[in-house]
Formats: sequence, structure tokens, C-alpha cells
Amino acid sequence: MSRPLQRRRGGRDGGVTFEEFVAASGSRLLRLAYVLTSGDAGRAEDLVQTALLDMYRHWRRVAAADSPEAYARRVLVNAFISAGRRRSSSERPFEATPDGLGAPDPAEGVAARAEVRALLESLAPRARAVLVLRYYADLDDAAISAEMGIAASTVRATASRALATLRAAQPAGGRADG
Amino acid sequence: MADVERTVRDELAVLAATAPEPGDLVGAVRRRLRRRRRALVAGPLAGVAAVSVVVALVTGPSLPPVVGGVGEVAAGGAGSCHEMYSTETLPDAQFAFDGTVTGFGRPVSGGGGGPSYVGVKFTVHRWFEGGSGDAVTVDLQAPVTVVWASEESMSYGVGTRLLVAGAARWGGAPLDKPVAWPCGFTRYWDAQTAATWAQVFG
Repeated sequence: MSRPLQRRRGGRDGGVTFEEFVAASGSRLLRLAYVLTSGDAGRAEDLVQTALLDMYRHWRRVAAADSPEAYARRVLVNAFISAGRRRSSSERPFEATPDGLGAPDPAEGVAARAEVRALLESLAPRARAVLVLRYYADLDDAAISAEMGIAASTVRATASRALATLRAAQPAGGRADG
Repeated sequence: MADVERTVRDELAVLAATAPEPGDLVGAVRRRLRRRRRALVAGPLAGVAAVSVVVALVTGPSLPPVVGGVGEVAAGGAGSCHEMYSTETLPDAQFAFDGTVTGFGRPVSGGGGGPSYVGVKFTVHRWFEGGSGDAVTVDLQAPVTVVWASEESMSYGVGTRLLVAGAARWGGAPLDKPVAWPCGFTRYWDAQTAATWAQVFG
């Protein structure tokens, strides 16, 4: 049997071991990474492993922190943003056309949601991370600021710009039929 | 909640519901750790090139750095730019500051292959993002010889004032093994660009 990781980390003195943390939080971290990467399971797993490796190497300090899971989120999100910069990307921020999405049709709601999904995928990594932390992880702007290492004003400005881009692409309300 | 915010929340929840269950994450971390330790053993050979650059900077060459440079700073290192500098991409940086080079040292971001970095020490005049205090050391790609105003110079050196943007090399906090980005994200200081950076980072 291979040597358990927790023998040198955390121990059984009342602190959480690394393995216990992974068992408790691994699924949540993977779901977060999956949402960040727009459903790319391979990249999501890679991000989670990157975060966990960092935590393992600093486990004594991490385990003593108020929220090891917040630490993991921070490493994961920053790794996502850094990797997003390095990837050769053909993505460009969506630019809304003046006339919106075209003529209304019976499936307008479905089409609009699909458009929002595509727009979310096209956001720059940091903008996407801010929206995911706010609307999926339900963090407030102060917590997002702390976890991303950016000013709260930057969080608000980034979210505001991203939402404005999404709003501009939605069909206008009250459009006439036919 | 406004419609678009509700839609974003719903879409992200739908996506999360399709996420796979994690496999053996502890085992995967163990394997990565073993690979990393093997790379660290092999690393000193890769570090020799960086150390040589540092020695050259400390003992010579005697070329002075560029004075009054404009725009992107030329530096060593191979590879293409995956992302070019612009006011759209600048916010992706984890840290950004206005600083003057005060010295050189060993790289601070660790080994692991990739560009040949040197640790560059700065007096920081202003942080735009990701840091505080009046000094920092970040890794940059080594300065190179350039011809500026008909004179051979080093692209940057002690006394060069730069606008520097970058990120943690391996993820984590902004100044956790920080690396300055090339491709325009590290630039000679000028008042107008500095004002733009201040505006971009709010």
C-alpha cells in the first residue's frame, strides 16, 4: 500500500488532513473548474490538480487558514486566468449588432439563452471568472476581490462590462411580432 | 434580479449539473508531485543559462541601458505571443506597476523550462494592481542589445523606468513567483500610457 499523503501533513491532532479536505471539497472544486472552463472536463481536472498540488505543498499553512476551500478557489481561478492568457485563442469579445439577434420567433427564449451561453464562453478569462464567482459560487464582490487579488472596484467594473455585453445581445423587449 | 443576471445564473447552474465526478484526485496530486520532483532534480542544468545571464549583467557588458525608450521593451527568450497587449487584454494581468529597475538577481519564479528569466528588482512608484509597497522583484526575460539613437544599448537596465504587467507564473496570488509578461505588457514608461493603465485598473 502506498504511503498516505497525510502522514506528514496535518496529522490527526484535530486538524483536517489533506486527504480529508479533498474528499470533502473535491467535487465542489471540480464543478467550479468545469463551469469556469465552459464544460471542458480535461482542463477542469487539470485546474483542480494544480490547485490541490499547491495546497499540498503548503498544507500546514493552508490548513491553519480560515477557509482552505477559499484558498483552493483562489489558486484555481488564478490558474484559469493565467492559462487563458497563454492559450492561443481565436475568441474575441462579442460585439452586439445594432439590430440585436434577428427576427423574433417562437423559440426566441431558447435562442436567447443559447446566445447568452455562447457569449459567456467568449468572455475574457477574468471577466468569466468574476461572473462565475458571483453567479455560480454566490460570492459577494468583497470575497471575489480577495480571492482574485484585484480591487473590489475592478470586480464591479469587470462584471458591469460583461453584463452590458450580454444585455446588448439580448432581443429588445416589446419587439413587434411578424 | 435583472433578466440577464438570472439567465447567467441559470446557465451556469445547468452547466455545473453536467460536471463529472472527480476521480482519484489525491492519487493525481501524488503523481504530479513525483513528476515535479524529477523535474527539480533535472532543473539545475536549465538554471545554468539563467545564472550566466545574471553574471553577465552584474560584471558586464558595459553597455548602458536605453534612455528615453518608447513602447514595448525588447527582451530575450523565444516563443510567439499568445496574447498581445491592448487595453482590452491588460486587465487580465494579476499585477501591474510603474517602477524603476534597481538591480538584477536570480529568477524568483522557479525553474521548469520555458523562457530564460532573470530576477529584476524594482523601486515601485505606483501599483496599479495586485501589490503594495515600494519594492518588488519580478522575473523578466533578459535584456538584449539594441540600437537606440544610433548607439548600442541594453534594452533595459538599472535606472530604466518601466510599466510592468504580469501574473503569478504557476497560479496563486499575484506576486507568488511573479513573471512580467512580454508582447507589449512590459513597456517603457510614459505619462500617457501610465494614465491609461491607471484608468484601466480603476
